[in-house]
Amino acid sequence: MFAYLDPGAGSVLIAALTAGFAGVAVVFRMYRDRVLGVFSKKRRTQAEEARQQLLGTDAEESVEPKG
Amino acid sequence: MNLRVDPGSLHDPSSQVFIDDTEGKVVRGLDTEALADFEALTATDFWPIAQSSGDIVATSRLDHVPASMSGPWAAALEHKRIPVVSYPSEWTFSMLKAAALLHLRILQEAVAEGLVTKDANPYNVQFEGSQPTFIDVGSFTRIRSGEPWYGFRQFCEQFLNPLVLHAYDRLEIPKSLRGSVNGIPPTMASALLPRRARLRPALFTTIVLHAIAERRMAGRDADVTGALRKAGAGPALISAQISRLEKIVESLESDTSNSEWSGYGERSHYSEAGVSAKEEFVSHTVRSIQPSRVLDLGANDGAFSRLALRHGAAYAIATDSDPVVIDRLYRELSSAGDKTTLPLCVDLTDMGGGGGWAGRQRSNLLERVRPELVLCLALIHHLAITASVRVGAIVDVLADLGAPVVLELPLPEDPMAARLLARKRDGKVPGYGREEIETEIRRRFTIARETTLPGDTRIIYELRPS
Repeated sequence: MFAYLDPGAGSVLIAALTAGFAGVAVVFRMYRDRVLGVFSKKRRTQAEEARQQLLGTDAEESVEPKG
Repeated sequence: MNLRVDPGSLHDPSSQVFIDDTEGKVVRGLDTEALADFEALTATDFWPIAQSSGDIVATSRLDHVPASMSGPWAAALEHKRIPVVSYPSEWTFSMLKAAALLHLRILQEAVAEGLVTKDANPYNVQFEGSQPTFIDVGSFTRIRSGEPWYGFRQFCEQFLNPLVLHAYDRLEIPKSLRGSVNGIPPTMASALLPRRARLRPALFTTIVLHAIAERRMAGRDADVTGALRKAGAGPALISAQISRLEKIVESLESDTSNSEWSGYGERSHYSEAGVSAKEEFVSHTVRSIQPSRVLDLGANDGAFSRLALRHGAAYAIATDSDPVVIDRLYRELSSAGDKTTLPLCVDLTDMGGGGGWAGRQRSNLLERVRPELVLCLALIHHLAITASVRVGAIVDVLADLGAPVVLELPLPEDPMAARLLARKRDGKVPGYGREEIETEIRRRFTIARETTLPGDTRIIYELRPS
């Protein structure tokens, strides 16, 4: 399949939440380590890894390349 | 066949639509991927049902790809031609809602059998009379495991946000859709949404949270799709999304209690003799022309479109600038299952057209209609007096349609015309008099017939383009 539309990262997340309980569960699984990271350092490290995997390493400095 | 590319068909690289104007045919090219998708579609249980009900446009595969169709096409399909193509910027609230519900219903049936649509574009739905039909057969594709429905955002922009904002009196359909072919983005919808709507959980998620998520994740190359796949997303999730969207759309209602023109259909300002003389004149012309398409400008409740259909016209396009009267007409036609009157909300003084890719993607309605008869009844005084359009310009637009016209002219002493004139400086509009108007008419038309209606303040003409 060639999906010619760019779904948009935010929209994909919201689409999942729109699905109600099942969607919330899926998104929770996705963010679980971050949520539980409040209580556990191990989770925190895992969450940071997952986050970097998700957003790319330059997620924090969102500097647009010039040129 | 002499095929040209449909200018609206430019996004999907695996499928493209071609039009043959002389034979009136619509042909679609499919590449190998799209052909495999089409074969998967025709193998479903819902395909034959959607074909016979008209939910999806009647489609058949051609024996070979026509030579005049350039592109990477492995196969060609022929679609039944819709009498007149219309755009969401010409639909009323109830029409956009009907199109949204049809889209969701078909998508839900497709998902149950392993297919999904590539997009959620309202241009994929067309109306045959009051019946919506899904025309983009090339939009169906096999679901890949864990993939989201790529059309979700587009559905929000093009269907959900306009419907919600209209239902909460923040924007008016279709006027608010005339500026962009892309609809209303989540950030704008969220900014406009009133507080009582923000508190509805479904709208909070699909609009408010959507805007926040979009703003926060803008510019980041987040692989949310991949992350969701790992977390167990799948067709069941898409199916649940669609059900939720269906519930939201079904719950939306438009307040149509009043408008400037909604009482006009009662025609209190016409005498009974006036109405029947006008009907007799119009039906005579319709019978002599037997038009395949009648364009009824200023149709209001559609009484004269119906009259034309009764006297031998095959299809009527009933247009009016008032969305409330057209919405009411649509709902009447829809509950009667009508397939021969297309109601459209069109304001001649503020028309859409052009737009989209390089201003060429979407055409002006007057170029799409190809009428064989035009009705312009009790309209010219509103255009010439209230909207201050020169009579010559009105005559030119009518003549450029290239068809005979039945024109009703209220003279300046007519009570309705006089009421409009009273608002003007000195109670006059230069050029709005019988002689001046007839001079303008003769510049582009010959007057085939004319009658003064009972009451002596209105003249009705049958005009033939010269």
